[in-house]
Amino acid sequence: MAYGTDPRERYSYGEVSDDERREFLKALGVIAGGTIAGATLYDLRAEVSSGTASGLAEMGQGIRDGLTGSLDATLLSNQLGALTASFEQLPELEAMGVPEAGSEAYQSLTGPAWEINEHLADVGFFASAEQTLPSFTPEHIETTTRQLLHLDALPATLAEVGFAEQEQAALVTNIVNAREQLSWWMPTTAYPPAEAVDDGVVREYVAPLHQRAAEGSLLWIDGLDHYLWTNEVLVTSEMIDRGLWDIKSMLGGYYLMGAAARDLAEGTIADEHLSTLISGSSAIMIIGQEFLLDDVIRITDDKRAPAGVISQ
Amino acid sequence: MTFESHLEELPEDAPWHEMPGESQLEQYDTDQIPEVDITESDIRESGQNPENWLVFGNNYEGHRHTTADLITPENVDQLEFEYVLELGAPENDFQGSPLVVQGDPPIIYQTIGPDRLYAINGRTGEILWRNIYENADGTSAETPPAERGPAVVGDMIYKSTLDLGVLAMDRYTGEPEWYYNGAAAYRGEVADTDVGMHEELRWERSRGTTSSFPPMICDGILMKGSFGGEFGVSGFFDGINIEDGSPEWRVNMTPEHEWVGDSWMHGGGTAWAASSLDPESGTIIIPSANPGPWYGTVRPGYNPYTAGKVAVDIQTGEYEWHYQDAPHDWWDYDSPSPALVFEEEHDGEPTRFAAWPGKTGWVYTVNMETGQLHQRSEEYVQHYNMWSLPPYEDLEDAPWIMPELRGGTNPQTSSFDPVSRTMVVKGVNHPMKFSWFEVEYEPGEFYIGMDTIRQDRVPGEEEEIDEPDIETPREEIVEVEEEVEDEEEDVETVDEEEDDEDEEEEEEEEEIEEMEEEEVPFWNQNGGVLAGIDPFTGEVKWQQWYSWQQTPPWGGSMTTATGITFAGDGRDLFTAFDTETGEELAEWDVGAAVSGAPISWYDPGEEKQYVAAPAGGEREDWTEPGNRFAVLSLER
Repeated sequence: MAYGTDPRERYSYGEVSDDERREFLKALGVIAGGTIAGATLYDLRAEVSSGTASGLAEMGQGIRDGLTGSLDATLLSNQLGALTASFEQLPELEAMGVPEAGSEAYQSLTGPAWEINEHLADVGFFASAEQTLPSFTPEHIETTTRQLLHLDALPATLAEVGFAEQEQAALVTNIVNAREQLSWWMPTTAYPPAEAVDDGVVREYVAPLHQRAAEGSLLWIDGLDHYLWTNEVLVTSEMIDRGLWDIKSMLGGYYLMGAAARDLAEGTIADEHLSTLISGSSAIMIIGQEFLLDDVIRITDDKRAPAGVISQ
Repeated sequence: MTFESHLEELPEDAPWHEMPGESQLEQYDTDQIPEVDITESDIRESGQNPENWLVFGNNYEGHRHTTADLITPENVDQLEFEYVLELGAPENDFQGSPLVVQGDPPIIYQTIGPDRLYAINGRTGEILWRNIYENADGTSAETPPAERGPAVVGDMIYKSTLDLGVLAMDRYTGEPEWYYNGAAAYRGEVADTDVGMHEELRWERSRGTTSSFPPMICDGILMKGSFGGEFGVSGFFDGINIEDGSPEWRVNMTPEHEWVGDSWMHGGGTAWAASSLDPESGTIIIPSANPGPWYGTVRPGYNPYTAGKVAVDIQTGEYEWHYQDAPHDWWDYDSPSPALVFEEEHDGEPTRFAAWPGKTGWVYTVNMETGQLHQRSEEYVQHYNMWSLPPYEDLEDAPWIMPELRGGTNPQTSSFDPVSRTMVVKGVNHPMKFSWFEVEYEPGEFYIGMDTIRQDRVPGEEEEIDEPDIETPREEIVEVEEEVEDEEEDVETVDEEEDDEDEEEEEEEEEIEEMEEEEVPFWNQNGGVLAGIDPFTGEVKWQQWYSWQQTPPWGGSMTTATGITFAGDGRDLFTAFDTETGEELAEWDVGAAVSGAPISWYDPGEEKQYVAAPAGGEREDWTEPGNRFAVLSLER
């Protein structure tokens, strides 16, 4: 996948190894001795301080103020409920293997998320988030991760859609362990505005960072029916297994983002938690995309299914 | 996500027939051109008629195979130069395929860049007319765009232009009949400039970023592509009424709803190389280029339909299937090499397949009806750190990657021998480093965002060029007079103005010298390959490697019914190989890098079989430039 600090060595597929936890803790300045923390969010929380949440509350307020429309709590709540069913389908997809021609099995996972997505875009949620939140600098990644670990509601929210304790921890450790790839995803504001170039347009053609994270995830999942069927002769069961974790991560990220938006609509979320959850969920969705590419889409000769005997 | 048709609106008030540039015609002895009725049926059967080469691949299926059988492995070394034309200046890439219309004499139609079309007496090499299209925004004097060939039917000949249009001419006289202005509308917007071209499609044309698409004609529809992926365009592919040049349909190659936000608007996916089609199903296979910009973080998702092939219905432009060699590409792995269509019994049923080599260094074979991958071949070039993402602004620490951005296979057209089921493929085999940086979109400017370094020599070893031990037949060369003095003066002026830029480039080169001295142990130190591949099983039957001291083989290849493959290379050599084994049978020095695709025809009037080798371009430091059109023959 990458040069230099290859994240594949530290990426967790739902189970966080000792080495992965050690890497994670080291990145957050915790030097693990002979023993290593357990593999749940609670275990990691015990090792990692929440740090200072400086600015997160103001950012949350900024996101709230930057909305151009009203969030519809009912719509969000209903669609989140529908999205829960998508997670329940994942084991069936594993059993199914490569989809049949014309299958919409993967595409059917994202219907509720697209409804949420359209609504969030309509009310300026993505634009407001990007205008307010910093880019994925090392500092912001660290702050976000520390805060995520200490979000009391996080384990329960993730458990609602079937993330086991180890899987919950994997989502968070992957943010830090794949931070280099994350940093490549720059906010639209990193690009010059139209008036800065002659006759040019820049920012106007790059979607907000958090929209790229969310919508990109849905596009990748939607296309898998076609992609897997088209490339059946190359695809292995390992690719599908790993891809399903990447999908679960992306959908998990989407659920967190949608839940934060719903809580915002209902007025039940603290500002600092709102910024933490939008940043954290976007990070999870971006990393899921990067690894789906690596696990399923970009197939090298050593990973492909063996070239079989062609019947004539 | 629905991979449905993505047809663009065609505004009726767009200046579809306004010609932005100027067509200049020079006529000589046009009476030599015999009247021969060429129908679509003739085009369809061109592959079985040894006297014709009527379409880019000699049949719609793109086999580049001739049934002319006078030349055999036993006598191929007796093939001699009939004539060699030097078709003016500036020197250029041919990259395309000439056509031959049978008759007394046979007539060759040959394009060279920028935008020149010649009618040539096939027996003598005499130029009979020449049409030069001067495009509206000019062309780079140093790197004029390559040409890929014309199309014929009836009494007409058609050539795409660097203004994204099509010029239809009388085949006997070269006189323009109509012009189709493909830049009259863009993304549904009507052009509002004084030349009738949309402003976002205007920039100086240059090789590597703009090029001609050889039109394809079938069922009364002329089809052509677009270019400008490195200039941030959104690609399109047009179907045009052959009678009057009016637009019939336009496929949007970056369908909006399958891209995030407005990224589709600069998503690339152009179609700049040759196509092929399956006449049985009435489907054209569009080669699609890379997405833009090269780095992917601003365009999440698969980025359909970039970097692969798209099959659409010829009559309607409706989507049938697509296959991406490199979904969400970062490495400029577009898929320009045209597919070839063949039939094989599979699971007890006759089944049609489409196969093509990618820049990715594999041959993809898909079911022609569904687009499902039937087989991905064994590698025919080396793969190293394949799919490794380029780092951000850190070329020094970037990994060496193989294939590089030229492939694998770029526009080099493959050929096919249906008897031995051998697909002959050319490939490049160099390591490259990539590193990305942010880039802003500005109309008419590069929209790439990627630095690269190519390792094309072995550090510490002397560059001893492998010179061929064959004399160029200088006495055979006919220098075709061209009115090029003004152009040459322009070249000098441009050179002076660009001195400062050259100095900057030299400094940059010094800075990266250290990187170029890095050894790449994995690399087999070959710069390219000619390979024989079974596209049904994916087996690589044979490989002829070209060392790093030779320019990678460019241009296309051709097979004969007698088991010979003709192909050229960057050493200026034109070579005959045994199609089944790859064994070299004979070679000729053409005097310029053989960057075009060879063709062959039999002339019953002379009782000779001819072979044409268009040569010139794809110049490395040591290759001879030229616009050389060499024709060899063997008498019965």
